[in-house]
Amino acid sequence: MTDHFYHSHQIVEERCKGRMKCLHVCPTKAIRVRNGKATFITELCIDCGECINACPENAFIPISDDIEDISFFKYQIAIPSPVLYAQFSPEIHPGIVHQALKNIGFNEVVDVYNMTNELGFVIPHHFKTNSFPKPLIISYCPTIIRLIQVSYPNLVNLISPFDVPREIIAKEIKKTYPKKLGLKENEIGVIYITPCPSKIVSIKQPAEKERSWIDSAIPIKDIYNLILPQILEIQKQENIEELKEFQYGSGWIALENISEKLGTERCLSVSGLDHVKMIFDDIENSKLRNIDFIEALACIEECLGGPFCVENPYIARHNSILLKKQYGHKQPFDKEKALNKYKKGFYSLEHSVLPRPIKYFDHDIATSVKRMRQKERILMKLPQKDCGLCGSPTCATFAEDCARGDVDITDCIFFSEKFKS
Amino acid sequence: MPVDQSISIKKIKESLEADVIVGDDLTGVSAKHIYASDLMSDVLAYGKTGSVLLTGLNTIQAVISSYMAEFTAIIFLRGKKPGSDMQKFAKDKDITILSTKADMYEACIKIARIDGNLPITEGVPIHTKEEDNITSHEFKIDGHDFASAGMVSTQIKSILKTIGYDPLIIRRIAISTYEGEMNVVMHAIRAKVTLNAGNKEIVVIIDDEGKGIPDVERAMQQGYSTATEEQRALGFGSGMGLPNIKKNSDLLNVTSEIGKGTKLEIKFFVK
Repeated sequence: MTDHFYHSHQIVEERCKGRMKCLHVCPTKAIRVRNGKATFITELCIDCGECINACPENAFIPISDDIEDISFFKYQIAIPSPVLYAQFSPEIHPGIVHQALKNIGFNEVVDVYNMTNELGFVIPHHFKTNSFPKPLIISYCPTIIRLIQVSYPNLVNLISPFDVPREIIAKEIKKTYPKKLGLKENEIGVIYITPCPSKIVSIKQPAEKERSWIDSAIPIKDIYNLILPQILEIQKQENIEELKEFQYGSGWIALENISEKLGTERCLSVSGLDHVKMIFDDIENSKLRNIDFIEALACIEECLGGPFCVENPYIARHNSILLKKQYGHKQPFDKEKALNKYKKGFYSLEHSVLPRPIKYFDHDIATSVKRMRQKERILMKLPQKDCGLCGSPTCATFAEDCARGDVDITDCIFFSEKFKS
Repeated sequence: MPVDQSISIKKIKESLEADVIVGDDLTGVSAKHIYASDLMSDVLAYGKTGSVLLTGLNTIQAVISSYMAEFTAIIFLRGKKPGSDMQKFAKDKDITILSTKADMYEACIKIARIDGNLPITEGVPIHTKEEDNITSHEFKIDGHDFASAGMVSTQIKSILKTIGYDPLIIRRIAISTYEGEMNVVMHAIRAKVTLNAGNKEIVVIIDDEGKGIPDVERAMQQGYSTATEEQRALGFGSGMGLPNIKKNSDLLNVTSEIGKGTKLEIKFFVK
């Protein structure tokens, strides 16, 4: 197995007790427990973070950048995911969160809100004036993009041709700030504050471009600990009114944001990987004939349920609603300018997303067909209990592993020597 | 080593001077193929149904693998005798066990010389039938079961993806199977779906019990539909079914008998 794919987590072997919680939650069946320790098949992993959430021993640890790792940038700009604001009660003004980020060392904080607004205008314009394959999948969730690459290679041509707000805003910063500040591009660090590991992967190894415009990503839970004391401190000050120049939109972290603008009657919004897979299966069967757009997010609570979030997702959603009510008034933006940028392709994906080539059995179809025959033959005789004690998630995957020659049939507890004696 | 025709186990026993460990009656037990190996993963991966295994591996794994690979008998070499747990397992699963003093090379040659019908020099023709290159899978659909409609198509898709066919052909098969499945759900009582996937072509056969199609030619025309108002209200029955299958497949063969049922044979050529 090649290490060709970057992943945002690693397994700490000493911690893993082989409890198999991860085995059963993995949506692409990438995990195997071998010799009592969890391992994963790198080309199947779509970085959803389910294993990180499921492991009782915290054996899956996210690989993320530390705040110290970014200190070498001369000018540091934080782009917080709107999820960050919803981690705090609505009494804490987002302006205070910005100030707290500056107190811990960021030179500037830039919101994705304006870019979300621009895209909310440009995307519907594009679809009114262009023909496109239907239904189009709009997703700013890197896990969904990877799910398509791995499990639904048929659907790559349905991925929306627009880039996501965080990337576009980082691009804008990288194009305009060096001149503004008199610095080199590589002296300006753009750091995303992320609710989930999958965005780290999309920054380290993007599916749709050579290199991300964002330099680094720090998990919300890491930032939270650093800014919380700052926030409490700032709140005590008297002159906090001036910090409150701010607009809030839940933006792309929640569903129905885009569909609102495209006309909800032709849109379908879905979250949670199991549900997303149901919808993708329907697309492959050509069942969804009256739907033009699909919005999909991997986490069931949308981005507020990301593995790096601190607050309970339901409370976070409540906070988000209240924030939107208080600060959600729209700021006007230059539509002419946005249209100009659109014509120049500023918002477009840099190149299209391709399927990830996966070899389950063999590159040669004839050999693969033979393996499939063996797999079926073995599967018929297995107990079909999907207990996972063999280390493969289901009897079907165990039969597949057997047919490939990766495991022995006696690894199945129902056929093992220990069980017989 | 494949054998062209079956050899009775009795003849093998005689030629190897083997003892019978498990199996009361050897009549009717025969070897379609001989497979000689100590590696059980190879047995599972390459062994053919109806083979006899020659092995020196005296562990339960040998018996279990033979059972999995649907072998009829095991011959243990160099005088090895299986333990009681292995014997019991073999007895339960109806697998004959012999034991011979010969080693693997000697045993192979002796079997090859039975009746003098097999060339023992190099270039033994590996006899593979066309059906060995196809994997078959069967599914069932119940009529009027709208809740499960699409399940078979999704399962078929997952098998084809695992084998690793081109995504485009998988898409065409998914659409065709789904249409066929919907036809069964709407019009028939039940159906058996067979997927035969090979390296040259993929065939989906949907064989239903139902009222049949009175005029197949008309049903192949776009827009012709016999769906009820209720079914149309659910978004089905737009008269797209058969024409859409035809459009997406390389070859479609429809046979129908009134009052009995309809059989669709849908073919796709693997390039």
